[in-house]
Amino acid sequence: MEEWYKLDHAGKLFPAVANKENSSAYRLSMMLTKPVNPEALQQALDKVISRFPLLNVELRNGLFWKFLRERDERLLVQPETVYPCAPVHLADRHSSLVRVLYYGNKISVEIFHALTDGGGALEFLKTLVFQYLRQLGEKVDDKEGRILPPASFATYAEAQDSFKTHFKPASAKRKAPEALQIQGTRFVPHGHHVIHGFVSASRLNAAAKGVGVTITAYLTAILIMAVHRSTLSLNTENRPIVIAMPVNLRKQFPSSSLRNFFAVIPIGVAMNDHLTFEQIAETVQRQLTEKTAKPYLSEVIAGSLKYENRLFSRLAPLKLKDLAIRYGFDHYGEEAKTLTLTNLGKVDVPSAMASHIEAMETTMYPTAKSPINCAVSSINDRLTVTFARNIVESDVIMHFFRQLVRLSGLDVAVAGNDWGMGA
Amino acid sequence: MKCVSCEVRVDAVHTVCPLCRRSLDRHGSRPVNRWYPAYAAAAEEPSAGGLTSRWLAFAAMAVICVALFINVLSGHDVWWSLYVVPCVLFAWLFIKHTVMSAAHPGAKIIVQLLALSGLLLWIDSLSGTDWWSANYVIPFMEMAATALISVICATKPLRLREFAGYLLTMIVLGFMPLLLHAAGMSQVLWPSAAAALYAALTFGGMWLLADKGFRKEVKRRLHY
Repeated sequence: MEEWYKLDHAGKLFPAVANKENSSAYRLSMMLTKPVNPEALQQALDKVISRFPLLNVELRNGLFWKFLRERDERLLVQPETVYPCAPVHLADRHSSLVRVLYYGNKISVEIFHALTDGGGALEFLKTLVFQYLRQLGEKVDDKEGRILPPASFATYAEAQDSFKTHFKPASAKRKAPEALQIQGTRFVPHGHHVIHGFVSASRLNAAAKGVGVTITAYLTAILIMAVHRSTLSLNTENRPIVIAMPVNLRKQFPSSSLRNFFAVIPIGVAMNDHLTFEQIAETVQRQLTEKTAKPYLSEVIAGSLKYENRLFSRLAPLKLKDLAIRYGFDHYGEEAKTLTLTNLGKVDVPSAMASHIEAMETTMYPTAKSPINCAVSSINDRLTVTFARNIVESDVIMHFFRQLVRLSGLDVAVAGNDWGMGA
Repeated sequence: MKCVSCEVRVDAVHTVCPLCRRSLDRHGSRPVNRWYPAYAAAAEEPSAGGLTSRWLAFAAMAVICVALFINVLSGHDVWWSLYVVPCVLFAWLFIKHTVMSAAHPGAKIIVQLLALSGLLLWIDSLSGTDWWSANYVIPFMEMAATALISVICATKPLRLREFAGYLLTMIVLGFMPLLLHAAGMSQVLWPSAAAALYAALTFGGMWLLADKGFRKEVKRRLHY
């Protein structure tokens, strides 16, 4: 493998927009059934990191683009001490873009989004936990071929920028209208308050099927209702509620890349008090079906790549590009969405490994204009809905879980980190 | 424990519902949070600038305002404040970036070079159109800065990787005096041409003499 990498298309965005209020670092965690042994975790990391060379890198400036360079320093596991998805220190030459954390029974990886998306990060976490269990002497194997073997080699294809592979010129989407924005009081000191809701995945699936939609559409519809209810008096301009949803492009476009390869689709509803839950769910499902189809996603890729491919853009100095990216992110990305909901889906791990895992959680960092974000993932029939917020107000989250209980009738358990609550 | 308002089960660690913040009837000792550590009492991190930096900026702004104020009130036949203002700004930048900041030494050299070039060009243009700065001073400063970074790299080969980006930037900046000449801002060609030649020779020398790492670094830094 080479010792440096160009940033992939999506990865070029995050270094330009990352700051204290937008850490661009997301978290994936696995809650194990036994307390984590830090020494064994470090040994596992030492073995696994060479399988994922793209994650042991540092960010450097070029004249036209930033790039990633392999780090000389050893990546160390750390005890979890600060709030989830805290900013990475881009200016610090010795700081890593990946954190491997442990607390109690939980192993977490926090990854700066310029390196990879949730799909790549999940592969890393699965392999890390697999190797960790082996270090402990547990008899785990992967007969089903559900993880990347720690002793295998990173392939050329895994480092490819699949956006470029699958780019086809097409008409770009027009600028989306401004969406309703959630306002709130920022935590002082700044931090992320996280709340997890745990529910049976199969029962939730049955409840969703009861109204003829998928779990993603079901949860999105509830979220839209919760936002509407929480912002009734504030949405005087009757702006649509738009949920930005990252879509894993590997499902539609063949790719074995472990780098970023996702598109963000907007699922929007102009709410009024007469819309029923079933109507909202149907609208969401229709949009999801249309916008996760290949033709739509091809247009999204084309629209996203058209600026980057222009010679003028490529030859513009890095600082000028950063300014343009920040402007585009603020005015075309952040203002066009209310919040983000990302569904990592059902996490498949080898059956011998599954019995060691109690739960899986994904945490999506909030940003200045999207102060609440939601992430969903499931393992062993336990689905976790995680909200991360940087504002004191929890109305949206409260209404979401109340509606979820009321509509599905399921048993929901909640836990959180109580950041900013003085507890 | 169930929150009767939200109808969700709340993890035993919480004394209030995380959703509605209503108290839960908990009895007995409170268990340790299985999901998150107890955070140390966190304080808002000081901003990157810090108090000293803000005082410095205020002092610079105050000096500029006072100079402009006195200049305007004392009759503005001679705009001496236009000499003072850039000098104060340069002093502010020197203290903030070169003395106080933890920026890379290579970045400090380049920022100083650019700031001093700008300052001299400004003073030069105010004091007439001799263009002594663009004719002689800036080209020689470019060469001196390039030589300084080259020497740093030569003394410790390991530093080449660390300084390569700055050296490449200096090589690009070495052609700036020629651009000033082409724009009619300098009348003497040979110092500008010498600066460009020096930059080209530095690049050629590094390309031929340095190890493979430098060529790789060039590729990395200039990829587009």
